[in-house]
Amino acid sequence: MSEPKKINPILVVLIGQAINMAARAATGGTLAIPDAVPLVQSLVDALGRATLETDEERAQRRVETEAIFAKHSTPLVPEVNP
Amino acid sequence: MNSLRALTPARSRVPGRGRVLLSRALPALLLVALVGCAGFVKNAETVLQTAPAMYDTAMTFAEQNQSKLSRETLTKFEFVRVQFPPAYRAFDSALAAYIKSGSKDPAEVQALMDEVNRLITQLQALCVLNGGPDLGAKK
Repeated sequence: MSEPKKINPILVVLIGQAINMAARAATGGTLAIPDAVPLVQSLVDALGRATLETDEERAQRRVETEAIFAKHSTPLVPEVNP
Repeated sequence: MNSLRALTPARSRVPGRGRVLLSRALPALLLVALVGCAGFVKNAETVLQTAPAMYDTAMTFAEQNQSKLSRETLTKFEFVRVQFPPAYRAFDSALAAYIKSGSKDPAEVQALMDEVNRLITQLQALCVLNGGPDLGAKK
């Protein structure tokens, strides 16, 4: 699996706090989400890894693609020498 | 004093409707933004996975119909044949570097992906105009 994407931890804290404040405002203070910051961090970690390919699959795709390129290495139009 | 207090309407604890909607929409918007960031990588990988097969189909068509196609058409196919591999490799490498670095600016990768898409669109048009296969069709 690819290395997960990094996100600025300050941004994570700000987003988490914004969600917490939004929840409190929406419910008139009856509901708070104090764990919003770690939740956002988990979400960001999960999304950062949200690639379709593993390293092995990427390597395999590259091999197959190079084979396709090699298959079509003959020019379609004969070169004209002046 | 008590009578005055009784006449003054109590301050409502219920927030305005707009404020409620905004505060409810905010987390959703943030999630959409985060998912959007991840979606770029997935879209780019999808292009990387599907483009070679489309290139292969178009080039096979051009090779098999070399005698029937006009020189002008063959020259256009030839242009893409030469341009596509380096464009694809550059896009592939840039995406891998983008994922690894955790960069927030996908502009460079986007530009390289646009170039690959442009070449594939060109191949698709060449195939359609010359009675070739539909590159967008699912196999």
